[in-house]
Amino acid sequence: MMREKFLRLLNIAIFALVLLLLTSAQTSLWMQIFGYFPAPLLWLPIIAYVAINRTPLETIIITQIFSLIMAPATVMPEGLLMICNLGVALSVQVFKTRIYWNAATYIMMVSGGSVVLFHLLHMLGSFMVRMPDYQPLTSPSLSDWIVQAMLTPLAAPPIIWLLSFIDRLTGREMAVENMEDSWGGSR
Amino acid sequence: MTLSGQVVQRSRCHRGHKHVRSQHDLVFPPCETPSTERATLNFFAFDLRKILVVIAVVALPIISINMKRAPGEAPWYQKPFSWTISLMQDSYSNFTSGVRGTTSMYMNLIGIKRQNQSLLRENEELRAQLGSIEELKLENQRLSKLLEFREQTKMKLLAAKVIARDLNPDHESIRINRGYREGLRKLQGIITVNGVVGYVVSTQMDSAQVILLTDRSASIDALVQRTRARGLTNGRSSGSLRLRYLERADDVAVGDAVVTSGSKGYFPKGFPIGRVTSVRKTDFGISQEAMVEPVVSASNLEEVFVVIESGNEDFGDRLSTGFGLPLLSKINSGTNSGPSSGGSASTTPKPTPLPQPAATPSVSSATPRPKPTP
Repeated sequence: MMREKFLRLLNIAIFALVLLLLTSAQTSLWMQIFGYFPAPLLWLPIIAYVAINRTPLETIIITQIFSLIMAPATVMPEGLLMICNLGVALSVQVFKTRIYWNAATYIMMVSGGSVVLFHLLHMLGSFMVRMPDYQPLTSPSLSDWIVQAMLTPLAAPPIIWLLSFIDRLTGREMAVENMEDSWGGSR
Repeated sequence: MTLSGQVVQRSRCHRGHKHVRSQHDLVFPPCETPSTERATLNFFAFDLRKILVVIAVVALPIISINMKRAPGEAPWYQKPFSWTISLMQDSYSNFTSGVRGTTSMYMNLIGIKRQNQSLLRENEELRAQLGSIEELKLENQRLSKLLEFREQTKMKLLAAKVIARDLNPDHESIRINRGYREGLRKLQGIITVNGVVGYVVSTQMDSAQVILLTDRSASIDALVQRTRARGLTNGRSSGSLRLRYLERADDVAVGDAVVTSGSKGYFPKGFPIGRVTSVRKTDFGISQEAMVEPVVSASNLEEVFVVIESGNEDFGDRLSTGFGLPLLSKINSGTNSGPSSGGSASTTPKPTPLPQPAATPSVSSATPRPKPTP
């Protein structure tokens, strides 16, 4: 029992480390190489993966932890970031109960949809923020949204492969089983 | 036959003496002529042909030496030989040089491939070196400009490098590689040689988050340089700014330079922010607003300065000289020659009182002002 808890915590810790690495890569490495060309939102495939392969409670907890980890990398208010990420995660969970198939294309599609959903939630949420100097998002950069919605699904498969590998290492059987089906076989 | 009617026969002996034999003699008399008679005979017995040959041999060089001819020109009798020889020599020379050339070309071909590969490799290396040198040169130019700027100002500046950008593209912020360990605090101004970049919103030990001027949450107290009209810039997240809360009566025209007010000392006074691109004045209300194009583009930021202390620096008097601020001089030229809007622009500055930098921003009772900003 203790070992199972330890493995679960270890799993979350390694996921958080991967999130940090990917977030840093998105904000710094991408900028060094591609300048200010819109970068794929590399943390969204992680949230999508968690939403698909974890229970709702786990999803909520992990998403909130991830939002706190990501917050220093943006000037976006923390609360708004948490709401947006949570909104994305829960939406993916609901979507999964309606439409689901075991293939890499599913994760790619969900990742691309998550990008659009995140931006929409951010735009709507920005009208509800009541902070000094904070202005709502009235002129979104739609071209950036489109580029990101196309790039993020392309980056998703290796991220998902890495996460499923971590799941296998830390004994998350359910996730591993799901991913084995996703990446080759069929249920 | 002799005069006496005798038939004689003449012959020479082995010594070359002439002997005469008559018809009665069976053989020639022996060569026993007395020495005196022999000498007399030898003296006259010369060979005319020999003499002619000797004369010709001796005379020919004398004649050829004394012949007049053009300087440098071969004698006529040498010409055919000269021509022939030169022709032959030329042919030999051409032949041998052709052979030598072909041989050497063949010999060179053996090593030419290796040499070509070596040269290609060398060329690639040189190109790579040239690229890095070019990059270093540009970096050097940038840093020299920054250094020059820092040396010529009273401000206490800290150079920083941009290391990351915002996670969310709808927010415009950057992260710099200086934190509170180097004395960074919230709201400190971030500038480049060309103008204002933004200000610090949060600090960590070795890094700080900087909100850019163009972010919709960023606002800076600003002045219209020409008329000293005061307002507040707000980002629009689309690379442009809005100058808000300008009083309705303020004279603002397209092309006007917008500079920092210098209040609170987060920024130096009169430092460029941007240029007015349009002015919007509604039929009612107590204020007007202007669209401003920032002088600093976020897309090419690499090194910035953190204003640790502005030192009451005032750039107002340096604007016209274009001191270290190439874009600023462009703004000024735009101000003088730019188109006006609403007929309110004038090239001569309006004699409005100069707003003094104060510790707290002066808030007009008629114009709504947000909370204090950098």
